[in-house]
Amino acid sequence: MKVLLVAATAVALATAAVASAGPASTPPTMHPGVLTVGLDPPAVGFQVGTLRGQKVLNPRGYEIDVAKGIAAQLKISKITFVKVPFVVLFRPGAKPFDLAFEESTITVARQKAVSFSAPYFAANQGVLVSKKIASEGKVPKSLSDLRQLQVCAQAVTTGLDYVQHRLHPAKRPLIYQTTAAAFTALQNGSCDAFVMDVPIVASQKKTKPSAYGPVAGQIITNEKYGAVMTKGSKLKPFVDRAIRTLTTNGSIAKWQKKWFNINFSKLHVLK
Amino acid sequence: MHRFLEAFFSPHAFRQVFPDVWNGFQTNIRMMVLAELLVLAFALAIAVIRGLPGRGAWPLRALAVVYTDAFRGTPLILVAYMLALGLPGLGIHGISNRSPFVYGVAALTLVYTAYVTEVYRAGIESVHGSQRMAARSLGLSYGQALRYVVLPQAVRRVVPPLLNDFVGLQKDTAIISVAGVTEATVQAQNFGSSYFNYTGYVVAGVLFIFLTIPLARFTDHLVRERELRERALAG
Repeated sequence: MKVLLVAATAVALATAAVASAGPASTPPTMHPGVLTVGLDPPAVGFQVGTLRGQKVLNPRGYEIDVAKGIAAQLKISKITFVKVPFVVLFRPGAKPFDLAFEESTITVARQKAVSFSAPYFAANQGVLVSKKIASEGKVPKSLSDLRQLQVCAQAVTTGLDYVQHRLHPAKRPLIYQTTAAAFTALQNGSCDAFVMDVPIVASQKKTKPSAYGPVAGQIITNEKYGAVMTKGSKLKPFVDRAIRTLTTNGSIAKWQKKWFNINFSKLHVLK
Repeated sequence: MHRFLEAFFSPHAFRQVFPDVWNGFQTNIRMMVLAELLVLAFALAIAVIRGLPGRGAWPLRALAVVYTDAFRGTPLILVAYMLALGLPGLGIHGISNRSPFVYGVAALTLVYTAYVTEVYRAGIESVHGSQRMAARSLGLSYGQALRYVVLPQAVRRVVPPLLNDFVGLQKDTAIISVAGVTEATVQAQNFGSSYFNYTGYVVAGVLFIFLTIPLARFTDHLVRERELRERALAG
């Protein structure tokens, strides 16, 4: 028994030694030498790519640049991009990726289930209206105007949270499982106004200007995006350090300008 | 164990989530009642069309077969997506400006009418041909024989499988959430995703069960009644 105990202690110590040696040398990714990144495209500006089953081919966008930047900082040469639907992203438990970039706002509730990296983007909520609303001259100028419209949102987003718990629109909001479905509903007039992160709606409008009415404005919510990791992930200190470096060396600012080039501070604020 | 109970059966979460889920569940009930009434009527019509005699009715019969084959074989979720996301974009007057609720009921009706048509047809075919011939020989027309002799027996026979399909329809109203309809499962999902508590799903599940149990007992009752009646006739 004693021998066993000594052996167990030795093993435990050895493991601890390896673990503490870890951070200095190789980042603890799921598969050594590979960074597995979760995405849920499309979010114009942030990430677009071709979906092949669970794999995302040729992804491009701001979040892809950030992911590649982090990998470079961690000295990892290989990145695999996998699709992880946003509606299951904050489920508690182990994740099938090292970190996921899905325009995820850092919230206290979500932090109970997952770990977030240091923020890599700041955003507010935006309101994109349908062409029908624009042609009827009913583009909302205030939150009380917005309340009178058929509002829609995506499930599990801070936008939906805002609509249900702060805005309280007159008609029951329509809730879609994907961003794409909500944009389709907006395009075909089922939905009057889509409440979603302002960079996402603004970029979508910029890509397909004739499909929608104008971006009516933004609602100041001061949200910060973080990459999602399994709760208590050992990779977090590495990722945080990398994001801080990318922020101070100007890469983050450069990529934001490259992919968005929209001056959000000039957008009308709905109050 | 405590964590399990807390995640799925938290009394605190129950109080928070119940009003929303109940509110959403009323939408499920509305969808279900509307769809079931439409299905009953349309399915009977299509089953009768499939049984029409004569060469002249061939195109109608063919249409009925194509319809049942197509919609019995298509997953409901696909039909819901096609109607709710596809139709509004076409700009067809009267069709393209409906609410997701209407598209949801339409999807349920299209798919379940195809199932129930087959149920009705089985019932109609189970009535022995001699009955129809006897009715015709008494001077009843084809329509009268169908109306007064065949259908009453056929419908009575298929009530249990028909109600079984309706249990399926009731549960499938949850699928309509993909069309943007805010029903019980969506409300449960919203709560679950904000608080990482799944009591809402349990609440929705229990509500669905409570809805189907009376239907199941009613079916049992009908079956037993028919058995008794047939035994009385035989005796």
